[in-house]
Parts: sequence; structure tokens; C-alpha cells
Amino acid sequence: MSEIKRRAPNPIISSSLSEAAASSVLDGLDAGFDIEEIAPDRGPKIRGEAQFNQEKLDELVSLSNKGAPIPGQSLTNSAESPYDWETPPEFSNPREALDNIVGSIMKPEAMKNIVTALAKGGAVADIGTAILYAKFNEGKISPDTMMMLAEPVMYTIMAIGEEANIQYNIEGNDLDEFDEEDAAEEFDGKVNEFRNVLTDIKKGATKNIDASKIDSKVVPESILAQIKEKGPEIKSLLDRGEK
Amino acid sequence: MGLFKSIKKHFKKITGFVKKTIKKTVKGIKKIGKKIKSSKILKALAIAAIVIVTGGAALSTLGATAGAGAFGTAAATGTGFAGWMTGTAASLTSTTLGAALATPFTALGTGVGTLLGGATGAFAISNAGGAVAATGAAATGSTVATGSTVATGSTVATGSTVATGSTVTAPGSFGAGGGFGTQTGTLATGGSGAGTVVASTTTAAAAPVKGASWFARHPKLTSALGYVGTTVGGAALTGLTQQYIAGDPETQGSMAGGAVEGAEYMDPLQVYASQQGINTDSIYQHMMYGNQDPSSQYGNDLYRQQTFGVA
Repeated sequence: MSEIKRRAPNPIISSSLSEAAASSVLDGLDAGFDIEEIAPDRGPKIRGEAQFNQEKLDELVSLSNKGAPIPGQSLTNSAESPYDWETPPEFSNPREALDNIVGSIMKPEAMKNIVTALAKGGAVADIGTAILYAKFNEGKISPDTMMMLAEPVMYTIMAIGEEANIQYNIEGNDLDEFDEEDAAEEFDGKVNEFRNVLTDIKKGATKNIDASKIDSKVVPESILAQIKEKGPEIKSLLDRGEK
Repeated sequence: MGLFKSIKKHFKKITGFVKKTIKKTVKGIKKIGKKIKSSKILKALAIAAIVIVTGGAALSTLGATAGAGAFGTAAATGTGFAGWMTGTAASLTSTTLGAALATPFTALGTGVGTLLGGATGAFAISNAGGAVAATGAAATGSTVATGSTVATGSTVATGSTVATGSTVTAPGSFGAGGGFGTQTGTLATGGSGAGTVVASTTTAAAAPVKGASWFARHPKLTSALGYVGTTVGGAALTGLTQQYIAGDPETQGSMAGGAVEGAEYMDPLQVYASQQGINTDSIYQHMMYGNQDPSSQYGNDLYRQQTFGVA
């Protein structure tokens, strides 16, 4: 098969990964890529539906009931042995930090856990938060870097979900959010189409009624007289009628 | 507000932004007359984003499903969408991150499939040729595909065949009867096997050195230019040829009257920075994405370049 020659990608730069990705996809479509080439379909997806589990909820509640530190407690700690996050972060450059985090996410063991979590209904935002918070706790990144890396880490997890062919939650239990919106839009489109067709039929039907051409043997005289009298005012049987 | 609460709030904001972008992209695509499902757009965005984030390293990392498309063989040869996005895939998979990343999906293989056995739907992860064989992988009688690498500590079972061009890293070992195809390299330290190692017969092409001149990095084009130079002569060098001679064609273009347009007129980064009120002197403090982002283009080497030592 001969290779299709496409134009080079347009220069793209953005402070948001979402926008850069969207621009790349639109640029790719413009360059002649089919959506199937960009995002190939690999059959029905695994539904990562979140299941309510009372036992787990109770466990979480009991954990949170164990109490929090007393305000100011950290100030009583020895300055000689600070927590990891109290020391200068290992990665001051966000790009280096991102490389380190993506590198650790892409490790088989981590990947296995992420795929399992996504398939069991874990949300991308929650997994991303957990990863970044853990890195902050380990003293790898500063809170500012953690915030900056939220978007790329989320997208990395989403890409893993896509590669594993899982229909995942992005936030909470929003598995079907996009599908529902698509369905609602499609329904609205079809209703509008139907309305247009009806209007066309109605217009065409009333316009073409010529009383002189109607066979009096088929239509009773009284009704024919009504048609002559009312003409275009006659409403279709499918008309909504007056409210 | 506590730290964790503010993180949650920030993530919520980003999640909302991601969703909004998907909807915006769907609208944008519908404008150009294409009816595409939102979930498909989400997938396309995720693929494009991971390529941007990893600078193309994801091509090999997530390339376990070797079908056509972004992460498949088409991408690896630079013909898929991801390959197109990143220029030549091969150069980007050799980035620092690319080298550091494992090939988790291949390593996971059917293990995760079994793990998720109860779930309905197709699990896409599979072992495929062209990727790194996972530690402890390669069953009896299996074939390790051409171009694969047998990872450290792996065992290739009895009767298996390692195809030509594969690499066995230390301390890989072969069971009795396991053998190599014709190799063009050296068996690494600790590697052993009952097969025959054929001496290298071809000389591998020299890999382009990072930081080398543009001419050195484009030997084919340079030799073509030499031919053009010899044939046409210096006086007749115009248009495209002049562009190549003048410097990197990706950053310079010809202007009317033979003048060469400087990079500053074509630099989207500078335009973007001025629009956003960013001082280009502190550009690296701003996290940016896209094919014009300097850190995407140059990778971590930018931060590891030699500087003056402070005494």
C-alpha cells in the first residue's frame, strides 16, 4: 500500500495541554487523517462502573474518625528531622518532575494497578490526585509543581485507560456523560428533521389542493364546500392543534 | 483552606476544563462537517496529549497493540497520527524519557486480561512484536519478533527463536535448542545460549549525535545538496536550495529579494510569549505544551547542558 503524503503539522504552543491536544487533533483531521486513524476502534469497551460498597465506606469513615493533628502540632516537631515535604523538592523543574512521574506511572506494576482501578470505576481525577499527592509527600515536588502537573498526569491516566480499552470515569461516576450528551443531541436533531419534513408536507399539501379537480363522487358535496371555503386553513391530522 | 482541599478544588477545575475542551473540540469538528462521537474525540485527545507529554516516547511504551493507528506499528514507522505529530517517531523514542520508560502493556500481557476477566468488553492489551519482551516472558516454542529486545533477566524457553535484529541484554539466557538468527551485534555480557552467534557482517549506520550541526544530522540531504551545488553552481542557488544552505529549513524561510527571514519572525513561541505577557528570559518557568514548546523540542538535555561552574 502506498504511503499517503500529508502536510507537516502546524506549529502549536499552549499553556494548556487540553488545548494543545485539541489543536493537534484538529490539525491532524485537517491534514487528512481520519478519526479512525487517530483513535482506532477496538471493539466494545470494558465499562469501568463504580460499585457502591458499604464495607469500604465504613472503613473510610472509621479512618477519618481517627482524628487529625492538633492545629500547630507540626510546629512542635524537631527542626533537625523535617518531613520529606518540608525539605526543598527533588525536582524544581516541572518538566523533569513530569518525566519522573510519567516514568513511574508507566512501570508495569503501577500500570497494572491503574488499569485495575479504572476498570473497577476509579476516576481519573482521583487516581491523578493520589499519584501527585504521594509525590509531594515523598518530597519529590513542591505543591505548585503538583498543581501544574495535574493536567498532564490526568491525560496520562486517560491514555492508559484508552489503550486498555476501558470506558473510564473522569470525575466521580460520569461514565456515560458524553454518550448521553451525544444521544440527546442526536434525538434533538432527529426531532427537528421530522418537524421540517412535516412542515414541508403540510405546505405542499395545502398548496396543491385544487377544489375544482376533486372528484365529487369520492368526496361528499358538503366537505367539498368546506374545502372551497377554508382552503389553506385546513389543518393536517398530524397538526398539534390549538393549546 | 487546607492543602488537600485546594488540590481537590484545583483538580475539579482541571477536570471541568478537560470536559469543556472535549465539547469544544466536538463542536469544532462538527463545524468542518464531520459527525464524530464525543467518546471518540476523548480518545483522540488522550492520544494526542500523551504524545505531547512524553515527546513521542509513548509510541513505544503504549505500542503493545500493534494495529494501525496512534500507538501501533504505523506510529512506530512515523506514518500514524502520533508519528506525524512528532515528525519522525524514531528520533523521539530515543529521548531520555523514552529510554527510561518500560513497556508496561507488553509486560502486563494477558495477566490483566485475566484480572478483569469478569468485565464485559474487549481488553485491548496484548503482547506484540516490535516491543520489549517482558521479564520472565517468551513461552516454549514462541518466536520473539524482529526488532524486539529480550529484557534483562528474561529466559527464552527451549525451542524458541529470536529473529534477526533482536537484542539480548545481559544476563539473558536461552534454553537448549534456542538460537539466534543472523545477528549484527554482540552478545551482551552474561548472555548465553546453545545457538550460533554469526559475526556481524554489516556496519550499523552511525546514529545522529544530538547537538551536531544540521548538516551532520541530515547526511542524505547534505549529500543531495552537494550534488545540487556541483551541478548547478553557486550563482544559480535560489529558492529551496538557498534555504537549505542558509540554515535549518524548519526555522528559516526565504523572503523576496533574496533576504533570509530570521527565526524571530517565525517563532510561534515568541509570539505566544508576547501575547501572554511572558518574559522569554524566564520562559522555562512556564509549563507549555505543543510542538513549539522548547522543552518538548529539546527534552531534558536543555537543563543538563554544561554551564560555568561556581567556585
